[in-house]
Amino acid sequence: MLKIGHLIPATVIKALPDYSAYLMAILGTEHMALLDRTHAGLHLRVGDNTIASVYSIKDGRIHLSQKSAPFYRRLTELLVSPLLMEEKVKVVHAAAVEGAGFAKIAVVGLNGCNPIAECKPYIKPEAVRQYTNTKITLVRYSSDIEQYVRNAFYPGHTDDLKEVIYFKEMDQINVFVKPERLGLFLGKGGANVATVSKLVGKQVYVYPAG
Amino acid sequence: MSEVDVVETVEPTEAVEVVEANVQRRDTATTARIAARKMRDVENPASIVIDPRTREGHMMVKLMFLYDRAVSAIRMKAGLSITIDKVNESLLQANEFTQRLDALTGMFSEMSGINPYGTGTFQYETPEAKRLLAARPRSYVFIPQSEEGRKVALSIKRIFPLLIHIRTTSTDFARAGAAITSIIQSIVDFCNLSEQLLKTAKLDYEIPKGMGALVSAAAANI
Repeated sequence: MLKIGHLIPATVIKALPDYSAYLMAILGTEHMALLDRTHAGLHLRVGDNTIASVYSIKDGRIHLSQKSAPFYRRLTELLVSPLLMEEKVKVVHAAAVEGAGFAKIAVVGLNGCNPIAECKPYIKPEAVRQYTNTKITLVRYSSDIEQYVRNAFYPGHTDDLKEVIYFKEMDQINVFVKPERLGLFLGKGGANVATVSKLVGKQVYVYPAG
Repeated sequence: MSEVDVVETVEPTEAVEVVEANVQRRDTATTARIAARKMRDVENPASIVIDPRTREGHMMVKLMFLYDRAVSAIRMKAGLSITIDKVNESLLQANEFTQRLDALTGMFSEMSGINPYGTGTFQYETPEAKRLLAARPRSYVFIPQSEEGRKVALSIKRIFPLLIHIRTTSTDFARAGAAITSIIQSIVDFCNLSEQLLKTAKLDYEIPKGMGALVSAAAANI
């Protein structure tokens, strides 16, 4: 469907070096779309077939993206589609920040399945690299917000995470971690904490414990 | 003083150019009227929006409007001013042409590696997507009057995105050239068929503008 957030197959029709976007033909239709080079997950050439999500439709122009959260969510759904068909897992949320180089995807297990163990064989780096250079990190979803934040901070080790306090009135979460591991939890330029914040949908602050 | 002289010599030239450009372009009121009609027609669930984006495609669409009108008139006049045998013959020719377009779609699909039936031409044909295409200045909104017209319109919708794909991404232009030649030849044949059907239906026929160039191209390639 040609709706914002939906994943569509497209072919590169023009890739002029001095233009800021690729001209893409949406397969099977007469629609053309623009994929901004900054929104492209890979370096593309004319004739390359790829998939991208519809980022916006304005002034009659369709803009695609391979770096938006809906794209990562749909890509994960595409890769784990056998599990979705068997109703073993469900993709809940996705979050990505610009320049981070990774996206976090929250998955939940259905019928007692371990979502991470089930999804891992499908989210192989070589499978993901066909569509994007961004690394996809799976996060186990939990309805308990504090546990969800703990899970979302992967690759920060859970033992290094001392305390998670959720201030419901302020809709804010304070996370206390081992001082020597603070950088790992914050990520490069604060990318990790920003992605976690987007994923859980709350303000997250990281402080050194003690 | 010299600056003033330069302005005086340039201004009339620019004015002449502007006037000439206006003569060639449609006036704003006509463009607005066409756009309003397209947006009204696109609300019809039976409407088909076509944005061919190629010169051949535009020609094919113009011929398709004539063809659909002719087939519809032949069907309506069957048994009255046109004999049933003549109607049968005309519809047979129309079906043969539709089959030829289907074969062409198959050839293009094989060359481009894209399945025009499988990748969802109709999956994307939502009212919003139709409106988006209809809003483009060079698109057409077609409400078929006959089943034959509808079939040709759907074939055009499948063929021309594939033609663009082949033209832009082909690495073996000898094969692509054969495909392009065959589409041009089909358009010439479609023009002849439309003319014949319109004559049968006793309707006026006017060759679409630009057809001469395509006929010359077809002759040059053969």
